[in-house]
Amino acid sequence: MTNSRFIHEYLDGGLGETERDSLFSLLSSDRGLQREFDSQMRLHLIAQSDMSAISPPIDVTNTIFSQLGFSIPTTGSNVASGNFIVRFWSANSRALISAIATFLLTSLAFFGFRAYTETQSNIASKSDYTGQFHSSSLPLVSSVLNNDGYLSTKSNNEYEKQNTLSEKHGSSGIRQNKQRSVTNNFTTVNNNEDNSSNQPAVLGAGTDYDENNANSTTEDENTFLNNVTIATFDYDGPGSINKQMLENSGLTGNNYFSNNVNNSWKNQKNTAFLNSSSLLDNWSINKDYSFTLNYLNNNATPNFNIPTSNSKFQNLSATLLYKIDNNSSIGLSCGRECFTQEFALNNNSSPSIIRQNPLLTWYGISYRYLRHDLYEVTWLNPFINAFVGGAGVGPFIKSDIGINFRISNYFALSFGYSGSALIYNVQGKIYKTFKYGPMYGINFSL
Amino acid sequence: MNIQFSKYSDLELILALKSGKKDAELAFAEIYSRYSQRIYAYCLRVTGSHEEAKDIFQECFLKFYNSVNGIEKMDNLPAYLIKISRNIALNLQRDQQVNIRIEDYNVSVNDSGYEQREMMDLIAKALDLLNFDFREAFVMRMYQGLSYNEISEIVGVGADIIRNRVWRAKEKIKVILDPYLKEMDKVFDMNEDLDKPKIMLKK
Repeated sequence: MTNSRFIHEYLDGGLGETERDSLFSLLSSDRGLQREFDSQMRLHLIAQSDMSAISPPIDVTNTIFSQLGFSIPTTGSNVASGNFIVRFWSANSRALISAIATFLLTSLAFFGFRAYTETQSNIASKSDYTGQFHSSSLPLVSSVLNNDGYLSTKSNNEYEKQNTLSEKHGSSGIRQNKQRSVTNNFTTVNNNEDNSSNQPAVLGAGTDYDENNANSTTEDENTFLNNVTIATFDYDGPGSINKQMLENSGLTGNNYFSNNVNNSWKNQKNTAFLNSSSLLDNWSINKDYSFTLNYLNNNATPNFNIPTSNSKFQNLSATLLYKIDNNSSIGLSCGRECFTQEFALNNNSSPSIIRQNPLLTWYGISYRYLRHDLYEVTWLNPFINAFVGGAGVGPFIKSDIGINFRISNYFALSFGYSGSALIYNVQGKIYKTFKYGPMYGINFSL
Repeated sequence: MNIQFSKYSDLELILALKSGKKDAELAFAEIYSRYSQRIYAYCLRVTGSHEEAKDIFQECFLKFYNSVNGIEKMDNLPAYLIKISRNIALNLQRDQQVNIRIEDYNVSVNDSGYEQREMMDLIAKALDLLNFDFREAFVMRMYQGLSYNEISEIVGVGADIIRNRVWRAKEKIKVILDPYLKEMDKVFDMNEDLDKPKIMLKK
């Protein structure tokens, strides 16, 4: 018996124990035999898997049953083939229904939240808010406050240092209330007043605010301050207060405050408001776990031209999913992205409208439905994701739909479209931010 | 599908098939559900033609139903159905003697990555080039998973002969698929080289 025949007999189940041992011994040292074994094994496996890919056409089934005078069976995978629509429905009905149900449920949640919040979050007519900006409390708005009520990532010491530097240049307008100062991890705002008019700006009405200092800021000092701040407010004078967002210098998060809703908003350097988010997605084939990194650059509602953070770790999401059946996975997801916020703030009888674009971290539970065999194109896998979680300031939901391009069994690229809603509460009123846009990412199967 | 009938053995289904109209219909539907895919796969792989496979498959089940009253004992229903299909296929083959030389058959090598689907198609095409005896032995053993004794009963020759036919069919398929398999071997070699230590690569 040749070695090739030995291998055949082994794969065919006809080899005794002694012969099997000698075959294994030969295989361990003979490379040619290993190749032969590999070829034969492949033939065996493919012949076996080929069976499941074949099913009788429905017209033949119909003919048989009708010739025998029987009603045509409607169930059973092997009799439910036929024209393209029938075959497609038969093979994919469960997946389609699941996908549609997932999409409808997430859409329902998304638009339900939207409809609900729209009834409650109407910011009072902006003309009602012409008062000064007060900032003794900005609850639930992604950031805590420094003494002036401006959101800050800086420690008190940093602020003191900055104040000192500012004062060297004869400038102020920044105040620390050390009693109430809090370090903020998200956003930094520094106000700088370029009062080019005769009348002093009214800003940051902290208890120890010094208007005279505030009025003494110069353009040079603006430049100086821009190096260390994210946001700068320019006040052109009473009744016509303009605030401008200037580019920051690497600190995370941006905040934009408007004291006067009649102001025109100037966005000097950051013309594009880039915002992004991502959900999970991903895919895997015969792998229990998959890990996904996604990026997306989407639009937000409300939409302001407020520059986003310079942080490298934003607009990203990471998801770890566990496969619960052939098409469904569930897991944990987290991400960082900017969310524009616009809300009314009433404080000491001085209402203000506040706009900001903080960088938030969100986290929660993800569900993914992914098809591996739609249209028998195994490398193209449509998916739908649903996410429910929170972003620190309030609940956050997200839904993605897209396609995975499988590069290998361990790696895939994904492209899709994503929509999300962030709900938050300020002084008893519910506000929301909606985001939507394309997303893309990479998927690893573990 | 009737849940009650799905629990029946093949013999019970045949008995039900012999009884009243209603039971016969449900029993036939259950048998069809159990074995239609397998029989159609056999027909398709043995003939290599969807049209012929459909004809044989249809005739097989009609013949089975018509002959059921004569069945007293049934040990292996799928083998029985395959036997019916085989007889029909042989009759059909007598009318259509087409010979293709193996040397005329060029296997195109495609490295698109869909190895399995591609190889399924290639094996199916290679089967077309085999003598009917080898082809059916290979299909019954490799595709249908029938034992050599079962095949021997269906075909009517000894199990050793069937065993030899399966082996020879496989060898012929390997010859036909040689260009493809060589490509696969290159991949095999590459993968193996990657695993080797550097000192081995310098040889």
